[in-house]
Amino acid sequence: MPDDVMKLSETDLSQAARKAAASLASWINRPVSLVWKSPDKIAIEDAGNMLGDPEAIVPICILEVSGPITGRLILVNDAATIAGFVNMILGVGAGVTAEQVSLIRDNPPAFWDELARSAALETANIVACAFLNALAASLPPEKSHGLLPSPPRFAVDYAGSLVQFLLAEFAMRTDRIHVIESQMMLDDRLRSDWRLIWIPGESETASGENK
Amino acid sequence: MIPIDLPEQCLNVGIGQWKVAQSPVGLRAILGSCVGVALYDRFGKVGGLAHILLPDSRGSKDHAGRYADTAIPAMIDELSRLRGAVIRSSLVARIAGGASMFETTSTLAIGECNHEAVLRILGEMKISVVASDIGGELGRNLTFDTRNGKIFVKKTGGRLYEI
Repeated sequence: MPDDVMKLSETDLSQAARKAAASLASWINRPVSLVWKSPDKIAIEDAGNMLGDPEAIVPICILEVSGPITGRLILVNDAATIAGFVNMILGVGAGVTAEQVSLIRDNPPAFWDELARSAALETANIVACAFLNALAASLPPEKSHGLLPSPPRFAVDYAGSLVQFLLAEFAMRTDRIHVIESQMMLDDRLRSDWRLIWIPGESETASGENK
Repeated sequence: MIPIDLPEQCLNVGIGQWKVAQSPVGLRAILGSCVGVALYDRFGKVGGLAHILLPDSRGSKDHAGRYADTAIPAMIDELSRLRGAVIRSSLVARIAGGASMFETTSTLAIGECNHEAVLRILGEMKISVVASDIGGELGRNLTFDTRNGKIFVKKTGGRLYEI
């Protein structure tokens, strides 16, 4: 494990999650509280419900991170909540209509048109960049500028299917993955728990976890 | 349209697992880049479903269910035990999955590699692939009916169909 990564403490990570929650609060102009969960290690074969019920259809936004720290950052919530959130960002009111609930349940791709995807991706970008900026600040100055997030990507599918994409690369070299998760709770009528999941990359997972 | 009659009882097959079952118990899996390999013996009405995450074990003896080259032979052994005889010659295969759900450089080809490995291994074992539903960008909810060997798939927002 590189020295720089070793210096990423749970305090650094929880601070980054707090920054992410603050950026979400600023973006939606509503209070957001944070519940930090201690880092966990999950066996590949037990990770099928990492994003929730494998048969549930969930939207996720994902960014890949390269540089002195590598990994994947995932923003996930249940479909109806994110849909309501997108409505709020688009200025058509918080929450979802009965018609939208039916569409989300029966034909999710039809709901997630380009505009809805853009709103979800913009949210992910803001939250993720706040998280990564805070992580970069915890690195030595000469390394902090090398932290590069990919553009966020969006998908809506079975939670169990999406997990396989996240796991496949890690499963080639390790039996357990590190998962660092925080929940961001909105305290108003759009009450829900957003989950921000950070899966550290190769250098952070390959040491001593393969037995 | 004739309604699809799915098995009342199904065993869930998780990532990197295989399971076998005898009629009328079915088998189910949620597939993304993973490939589901269903092997069926119509004489004994027994079937197995492997939920394969990666193409090649590279000699590893651990986690046999994770890899195509170790999961398929191990599942055949268990099917043989369930059937009470070596039944490879009576097996047929149906396969599904191998989607590319995100366009990224590192994992773009995992589904495709899984598919190629499964075809190669089944070919070496002389097991015919009688149906397949591979690729695309969407996950699959798969149900394997051991009463008749049929495979049904539902994609996000789509209808249930037989492959």
